[in-house]
Amino acid sequence: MSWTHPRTWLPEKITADKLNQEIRDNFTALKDPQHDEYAPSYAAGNLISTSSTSWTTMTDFELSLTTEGGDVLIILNVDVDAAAYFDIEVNNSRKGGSDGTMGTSAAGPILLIWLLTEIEPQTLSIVGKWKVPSGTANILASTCPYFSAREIS
Amino acid sequence: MAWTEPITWTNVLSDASDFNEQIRDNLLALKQPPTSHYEANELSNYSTFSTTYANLDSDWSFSFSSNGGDLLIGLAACATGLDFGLLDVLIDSTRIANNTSGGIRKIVSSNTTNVSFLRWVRGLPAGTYTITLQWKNNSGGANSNTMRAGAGTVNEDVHPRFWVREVS
Repeated sequence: MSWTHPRTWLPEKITADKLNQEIRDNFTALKDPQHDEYAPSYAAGNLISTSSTSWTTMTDFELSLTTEGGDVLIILNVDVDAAAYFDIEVNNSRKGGSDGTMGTSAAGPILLIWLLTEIEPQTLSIVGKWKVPSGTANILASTCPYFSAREIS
Repeated sequence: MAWTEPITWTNVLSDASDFNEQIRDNLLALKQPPTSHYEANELSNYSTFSTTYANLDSDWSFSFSSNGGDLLIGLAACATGLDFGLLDVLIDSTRIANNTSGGIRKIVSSNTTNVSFLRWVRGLPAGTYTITLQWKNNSGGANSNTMRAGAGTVNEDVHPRFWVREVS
């Protein structure tokens, strides 16, 4: 259900159409906001691998979110088996520094949380990016990698 | 406050009870959603050799009444696991990873490292659920998994926190 900016009520006749838009539809939009996620189920072994020392897309970690405007919460939650750097790219613009937003010097967990604020109504392309300083890194499939974007109030 | 699915208004004269349920109560349900959390500050750290999933203890298990919808589940914690271990969340009788060999966070180092996680669980029907943090050790041999839990350990007095919140 789409969100409509709340009206300013005047001394006016209250109709069913107005109540449905202002109350039914807006409450439904708040209760069930726009959400996209990539959440592969458990599997043995590795999910994806990279040896790239320049930023590259994490295969399948690509989301599309049509927002009515406001804030968007992004979560990247994975386990990696070697040194690697991670970042979020929104509409082809990577958010972090030259080495991204988060990294690890050895095998370990990655929890990258990003809050986009005051976004205008639009469709967002949200992509997980990664690279390695050297060698090869793998995302474990056995710990249910998770990537999500959600409009949040 | 419980959430009530918004009605479709018709051209009839509505009364105060409709407005209270549809506006007052639903706004309160959105503003103050169900939330449960536990922050540990124990006399000793948690430790396990168990190679099957088990609860840390009863404090890490919530009886959670949901209005229906999506939950945001998070853990902020540090742990060690020389032979590695796994963390997962049990919702009633089903773990999120739903596989005895899997989890949602790996404990991977002999050093104290971050084992935090955050994820959504979507589309739960309204009802009461038992939500529990669980873990296991990979080898069950000489090396246990240890979660820091306060315990006044010099340079490692960190307090883990586990929480669940219905978020719209």
